[in-house]
Amino acid sequence: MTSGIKRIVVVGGGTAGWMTAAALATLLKRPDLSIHLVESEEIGTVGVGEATIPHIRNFNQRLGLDEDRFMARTQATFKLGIEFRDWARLGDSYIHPFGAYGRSMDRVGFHHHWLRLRRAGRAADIHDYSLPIVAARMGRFMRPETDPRSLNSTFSYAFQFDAGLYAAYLREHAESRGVVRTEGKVADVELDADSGHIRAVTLERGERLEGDLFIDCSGFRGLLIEGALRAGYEDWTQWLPCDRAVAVPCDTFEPSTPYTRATALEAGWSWRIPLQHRVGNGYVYSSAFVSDDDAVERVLGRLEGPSRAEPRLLRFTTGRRRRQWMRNCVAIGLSSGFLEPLESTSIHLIQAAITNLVELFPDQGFDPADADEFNRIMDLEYDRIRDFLVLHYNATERSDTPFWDHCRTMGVPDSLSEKMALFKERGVVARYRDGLFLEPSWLAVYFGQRIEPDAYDPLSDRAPEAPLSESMEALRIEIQKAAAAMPSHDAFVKACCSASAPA
Amino acid sequence: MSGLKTVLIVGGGSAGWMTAAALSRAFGARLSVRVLEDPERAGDTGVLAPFEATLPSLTAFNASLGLDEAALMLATDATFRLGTTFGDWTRRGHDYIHPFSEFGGTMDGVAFHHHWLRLKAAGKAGALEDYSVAAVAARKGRFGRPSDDLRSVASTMSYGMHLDVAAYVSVMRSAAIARGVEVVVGALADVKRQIGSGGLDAVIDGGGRRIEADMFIDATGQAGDLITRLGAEWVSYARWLPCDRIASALTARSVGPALTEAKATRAGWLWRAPLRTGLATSRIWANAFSAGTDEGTAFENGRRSATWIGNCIAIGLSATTLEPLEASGLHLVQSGVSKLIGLFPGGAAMTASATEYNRSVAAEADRLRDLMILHYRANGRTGESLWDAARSTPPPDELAHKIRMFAARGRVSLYDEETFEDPSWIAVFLGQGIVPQRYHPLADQVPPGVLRERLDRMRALIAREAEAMPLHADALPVPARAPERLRTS
Repeated sequence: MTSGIKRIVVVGGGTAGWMTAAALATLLKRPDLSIHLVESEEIGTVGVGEATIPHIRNFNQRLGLDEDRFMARTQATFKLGIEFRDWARLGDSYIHPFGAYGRSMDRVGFHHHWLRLRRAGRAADIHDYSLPIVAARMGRFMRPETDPRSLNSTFSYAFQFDAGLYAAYLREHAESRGVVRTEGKVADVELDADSGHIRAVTLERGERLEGDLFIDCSGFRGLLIEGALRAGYEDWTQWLPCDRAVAVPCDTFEPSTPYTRATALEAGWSWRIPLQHRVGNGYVYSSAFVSDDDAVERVLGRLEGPSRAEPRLLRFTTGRRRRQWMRNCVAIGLSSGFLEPLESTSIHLIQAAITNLVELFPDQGFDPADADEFNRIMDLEYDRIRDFLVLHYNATERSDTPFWDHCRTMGVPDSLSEKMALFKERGVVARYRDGLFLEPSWLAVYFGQRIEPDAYDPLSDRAPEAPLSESMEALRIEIQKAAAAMPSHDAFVKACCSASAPA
Repeated sequence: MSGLKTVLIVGGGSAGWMTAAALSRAFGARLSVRVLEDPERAGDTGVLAPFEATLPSLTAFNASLGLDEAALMLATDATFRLGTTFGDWTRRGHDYIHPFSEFGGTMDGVAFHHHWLRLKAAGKAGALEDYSVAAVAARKGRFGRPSDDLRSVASTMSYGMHLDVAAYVSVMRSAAIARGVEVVVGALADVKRQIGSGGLDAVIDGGGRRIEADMFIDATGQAGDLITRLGAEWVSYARWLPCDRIASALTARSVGPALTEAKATRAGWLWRAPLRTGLATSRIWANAFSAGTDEGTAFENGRRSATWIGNCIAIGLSATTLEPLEASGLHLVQSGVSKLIGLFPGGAAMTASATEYNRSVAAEADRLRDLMILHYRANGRTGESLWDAARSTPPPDELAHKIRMFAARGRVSLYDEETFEDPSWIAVFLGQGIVPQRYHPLADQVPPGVLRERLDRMRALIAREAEAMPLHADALPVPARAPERLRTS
């Protein structure tokens, strides 16, 4: 039996670095384990992942973070979903909610009944059958109830927060659990001549940090995984053409919304993420279709209040590292690949990598099987999120700009075209074992992007139309009432987790 | 329901009649279902043996058809089943159970078997099966139903059955006919292909009669008489699963434990299961490794390259043939029918449904194949040519990865379309003697004293729970209480 890992070196702070350090320090409670994190104050962090998905609550829980306190520390607001504007057609708007539509009846999925009744002219918009959507539109929020019989248990929620503050909060958590932070830039990476494993990193000031396991959280550059180990990169620009983003925060005078907004623009899309103290804005675009200057101008022109910082430009290549775990190095965060934040998956991918690393935590032997399994699972995560993102672009009717012409007519991965064909033909969402987005999410985006199934589940026809229609209408009214009974999002945030109140 | 109005099922047997019963139950009078039944093949069960062990999924299937369980069990000579014992696979004289319940419970976010491995390494754990309520109950000759109370150790239990397949087919046949399914007597002679679409317009029977339908089900058994005419090819598993003969018998015997027995023999293995009226036995062997007599029924493990082509869907042995080692025969029929209903066309188009069906059926068969190969690959019977060869045949990539992961660190690595989840794989890995080199890194966080106390308590609780269950023979339905005719409402 080979001996255990004694020294972990995390290269890079930021969201990925501090999430990893905090989680490993909390979960691997081993007295003989040291965790070092190297970061440089000179290197800015990207921190685009300001909107999250509900899984982050599990992560915070495992770390033992108090939710209200975490929210106050990170200027956080609640999130019930993402609003997509102008995606399928100019003027369109739909919300991808954290929750399912309606209820299944007679063992047939709700959306099949809905399709049938709508053909008969007896159904409202599908969004009216989703409590988180209706609540989000009303600007209302409460935490879900736990009693599964209650309508108020049928949704979930996530957060919109300042990723920089989150990293700082986790840094405190990590340092109080023994993580040692070293200030400095990595100047050299030393490989073992025989095994090719990373032995040490040397900082510009000459300090040398040896380690058994290295975590590359250095961002796009992939200082270790690519710079030293040449893991390779799979470029997905053919399906997700955006390659730049400009980010700028601004003040706001509006009440904060419990949802993120993604508005399709001429050559990409812009995000709007409302926090307690400001609104995060940005434009994700394709440099082949718009210049940087025009993109900056476009995003500045859309601000709802005075900007709070200079616009920051980011360049990226969408895709993923061919091997996210190679030898004794695991890439977590942007070093592992990049998927634009359209569905707020950046922080989730960090979390998934940490969870899988803990499940597959190696020893000094570094059995390649561990890396193979990690890479297999993470590849599936990446590939399936990629397909979900491509769906937003490809399923459009927009032809008003060359960018949308390109997206509408481009080829998509086979794994996606089969899924789209199945939904179009019969309203079925293909299932898989490993992958983030489940049926309700696919439904939200299929319908939102105006993919109309040609047929619904014929089993729906077993139920007589009138009672079905009555029960759907009753549900719609119940949802309206439940949403209207919730407090306003602003009031809820102020009461539970205001950043300006003494914590 | 537009477009699809008529279905013709070619072949009776379990595949034909289970499909007919389920389709007529699902769609009622809105779908016309006919079964072309060849009188010369009467008694053909549509699976490899006259007796089958079933998985819990079939219990749910029967319930979904509205069949009364007690009446069904009486009609099919059935007994309960809590798992399978595998004897003499790992080494002679050794056996283990693949049970229908989880092992222990997750502690501190770490799966039970890691904690067990840790305690075992310290010499302080009982046998793995001591922590499975289904295994303990079955060993004691007892049977219990799953508990609805999630805190109960019996809540993770489920059960299957042993039954007489011909009798089961006749229950399905009656249920289908009662719902309006029409029998067409005749034998398949020829097919009429659709122009252009790759499907069928009609089949022609022996008397030259042309029978049209919107959809055709190939329930013709291993021959796959429809699907092969449409171009489906055979994907053989024989290189890993060499058995190709089966012969069965029923002998008088009082009802034993609620367990199927699979005992390895020199050139194959022996299947035994209690029926209500006797002991059912099947011998499964590889002709190449035995005396080479021509007795028994021939088969080859494998699947078809495609199972939904145009408007024709293969269900049962025409799609996948697997020896009964993991009781997949009737399960695969049920699963095929359920997938078909889940993708049943709502209009004229069915190409995307076909693509999804083909993907999912093929993956399901391959993953079942892998679990079965594991039994052969990890055998410990040296000096017998079949078993020596099985140990040295490299497994398929997915299984090789699974074995590597479990052997290294007790990780159960699963893919899409798995029939069996973690507990089953853990049972077979450990039962076949694949002991992980390491356990989960977080398992060490439970203090050793606490770990031992918790596992001891768990084991005692399970033993008590099992002891309180009735004997298997006493748990079987009593004929006097059951009506003569089956309720099929």
